[in-house]
Amino acid sequence: MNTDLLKKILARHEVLILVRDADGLFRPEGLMPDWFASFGGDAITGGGRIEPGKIFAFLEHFLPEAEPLWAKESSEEISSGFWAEGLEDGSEIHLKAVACFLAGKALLIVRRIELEFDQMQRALQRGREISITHERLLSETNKKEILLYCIVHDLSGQLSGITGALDILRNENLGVEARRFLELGRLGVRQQANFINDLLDSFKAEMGSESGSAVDPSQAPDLLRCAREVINTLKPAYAVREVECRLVVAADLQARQRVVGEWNRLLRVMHNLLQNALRYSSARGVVTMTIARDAGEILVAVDDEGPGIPPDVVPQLFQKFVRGRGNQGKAGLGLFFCRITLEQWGGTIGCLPRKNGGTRFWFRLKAA
Amino acid sequence: MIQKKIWLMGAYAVGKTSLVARFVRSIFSEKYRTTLGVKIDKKVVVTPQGEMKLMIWDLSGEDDFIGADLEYTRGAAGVFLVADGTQRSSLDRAVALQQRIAERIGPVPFLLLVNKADLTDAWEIQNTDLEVLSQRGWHIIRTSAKTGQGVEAAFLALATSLFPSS
Repeated sequence: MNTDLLKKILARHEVLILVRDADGLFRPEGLMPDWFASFGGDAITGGGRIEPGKIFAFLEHFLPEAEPLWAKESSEEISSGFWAEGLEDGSEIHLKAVACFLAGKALLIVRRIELEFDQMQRALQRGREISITHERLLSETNKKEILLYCIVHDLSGQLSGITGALDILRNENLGVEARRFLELGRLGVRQQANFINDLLDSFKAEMGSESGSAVDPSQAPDLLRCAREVINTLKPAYAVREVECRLVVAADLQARQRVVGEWNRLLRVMHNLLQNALRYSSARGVVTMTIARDAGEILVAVDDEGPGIPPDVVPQLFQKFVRGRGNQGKAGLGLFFCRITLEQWGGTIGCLPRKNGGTRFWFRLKAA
Repeated sequence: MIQKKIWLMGAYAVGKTSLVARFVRSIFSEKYRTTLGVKIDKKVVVTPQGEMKLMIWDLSGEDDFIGADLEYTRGAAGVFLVADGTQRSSLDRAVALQQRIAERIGPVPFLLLVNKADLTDAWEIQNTDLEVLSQRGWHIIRTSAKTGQGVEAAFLALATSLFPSS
């Protein structure tokens, strides 16, 4: 092929070819691509030779990597990867360099790669946008799921009260008409209860449990595994705050201590308690989770060294939308969720001040 | 004129590129455009000690798709670790990055920028998290690429700390 034609084709395709001289400076080979006009300046010597590392800061790191390849006159080539240079007019130019040894010459080929960059950038952008959307949705769904669960659970509690009141009325000496209305009311309550149970069942199914809690030892969650998993998940957050999280397991517990409950929600309960403890801990503080057998049940205690909880806040602490200890919590649903979940499994939860400061949150569950 | 190379590093979508755009070109776009590879910008800052030309290397954020190539950071005079106040995990990522940088290239002056200060109602990063880092000697500036809050101050603070003592 005609050499001039080849040079024009390369320039048209926005390729800058530089040949390395023995003294480490580079000579342009062929025509300069148009984009190169945006660079240059001080880094071009009087003889038209170039110091690429001064023109493209990015190549400061790449050129030392290329030197051994040129010295060995290797047939291999190495690529710099993408980089972008911001221009004075606010635009940017995307480049990629390749070092190789061809026809007795050490070559540095710098190519403008707008199309290739655009395709790669779009693929990465798409992946990250999906990832961001996914994380946001998970976070939102989680919040709404807990809120809905709490509300529906509360409705269910009130309905039990109404059912009890209507049952008492049934024993009263009511007229025929009043009894008819009473039975209509009871029917409405039953329908409403069925509807709420269906909703609660659907929540349970979404949380990965058909039954809500498992008393079958083979299905019941392993409390110790659950604790270790939560501690592992929270490890980075504890590390940042320089708070140590200790797990103390009583010697008389089984290696796999199963409890009445459901894995996903038990994880969430323990996560809430350890996260709360972290929130109120100071740097170099210690949070201790102790698991022991107590009066035929399994007792889990989370001790922190925080400022403690004002006594007037304690009675409301496990109610909905209550944010204890200086309102540092988020929606005020975490402890409420813990209480209703544990109570559903026949468990209990509470908190106590510690003798030397700090707070102990505890819960009990039946061993399965 | 003294020239220094500084780096912006952190998780993806925390606003690194937006901080540079705000500082270098005084612009902000709501549209998220992910950075691929490295983007290099330059700006001259005037510090109390004199002028300094900053070569600002904006590295693609770290995630499952791309890991930070710390080889590039050799020769970095200073580093901005950037976290997004609305994403707790981005602070963990910044802390982990700082440890990796220290192990790989030794002590380098750095500042932690907690970005998106215009969205404090949605912040997951709490003051206590930042107080712990402050007690560890970290310098922290709350920034907003959107409003410009803290951006000039952050670049000026890092540039000033890089000026050779006379």
